[in-house]
Amino acid sequence: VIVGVHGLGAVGIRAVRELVGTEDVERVVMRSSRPSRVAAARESFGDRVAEWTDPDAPVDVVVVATAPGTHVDVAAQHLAAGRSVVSTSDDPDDVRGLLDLDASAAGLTIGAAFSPGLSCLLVRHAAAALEDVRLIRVAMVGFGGPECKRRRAEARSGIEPAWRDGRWASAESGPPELTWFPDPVGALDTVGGALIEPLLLHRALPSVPTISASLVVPGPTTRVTSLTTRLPGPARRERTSEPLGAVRVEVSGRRDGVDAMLVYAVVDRPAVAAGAVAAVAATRPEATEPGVRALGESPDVLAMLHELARRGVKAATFEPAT
Amino acid sequence: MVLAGLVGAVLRLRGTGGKPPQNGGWRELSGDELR
Repeated sequence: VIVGVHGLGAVGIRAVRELVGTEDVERVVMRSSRPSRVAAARESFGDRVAEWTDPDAPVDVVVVATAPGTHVDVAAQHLAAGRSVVSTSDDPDDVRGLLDLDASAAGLTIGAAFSPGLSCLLVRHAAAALEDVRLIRVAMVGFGGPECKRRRAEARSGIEPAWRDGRWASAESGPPELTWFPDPVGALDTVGGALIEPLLLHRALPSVPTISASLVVPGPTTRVTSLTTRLPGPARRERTSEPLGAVRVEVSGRRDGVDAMLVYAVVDRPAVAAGAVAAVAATRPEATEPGVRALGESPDVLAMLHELARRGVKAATFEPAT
Repeated sequence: MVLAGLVGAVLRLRGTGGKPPQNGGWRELSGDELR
């Protein structure tokens, strides 16, 4: 396939990096409003990438990694030209607008990043191991780039509804709750209601009665270390000064007739992991099938998690001592 | 009294919920668990 990457910010450039090493990708073309970023990418990746200048170039799938708030217009343009789209936006308004787009001629995959994205894959994986799933909780910390960090800081006022007892309910900001992420992130305060995961996960798992999400909001009392994690993913790849982030999901239901809860998490640099998720999503067969889908609705979540692990994005599970 | 107030303020700032895991630990998902 020929893959386009539209937007070369923190996530877009990581998606390019992942795509150039992908066997099934014949060519990667890049478009950015900042020519210096295209030039820098060409310097880094050589003739494996090209600037996307011809609007009629035959591009099969476009990873849209432009600034939050722009994805609806950008995706609509590509879909109208017959190109499938994979959106990395975590902006709730973007996500809602994307869900309303006409994707009758090409595929549109929404929420293919760290959170949403990896978070939804972990939930699907956990839910598949349980019967009668009753509760899903997602928590995350981190940001992909400066624009994402700014949005996260504003998220205190951006309360998204949660799915509670089978209906949409206003999320209560309430007092922060400590959430235990894997080391070295550890325990951090999270507040509810700032993430779009409930909307996307409800599409993927409509029978689950309660889905909520919470977020560590950047502030003076929250800090994420940039020490190398004990999980192997980020350590073997590029070392940057970007802080680590984490997603953690709790899924409760029944297994073998008794109540059970599965807890999965990933610690990684959010932009690095988001780039890998977007690249994997863009090369899945379903990416080019017409229709709108959230990443968490993908038919083969395990294959994606397996491929992400191969690329260094490794999931962990919390196991109580026996 | 002042000390109690300060402690209360810190607790409010740091959150009231959440129960720490008493035992157990994180383990990387193996390849077999992703097939």
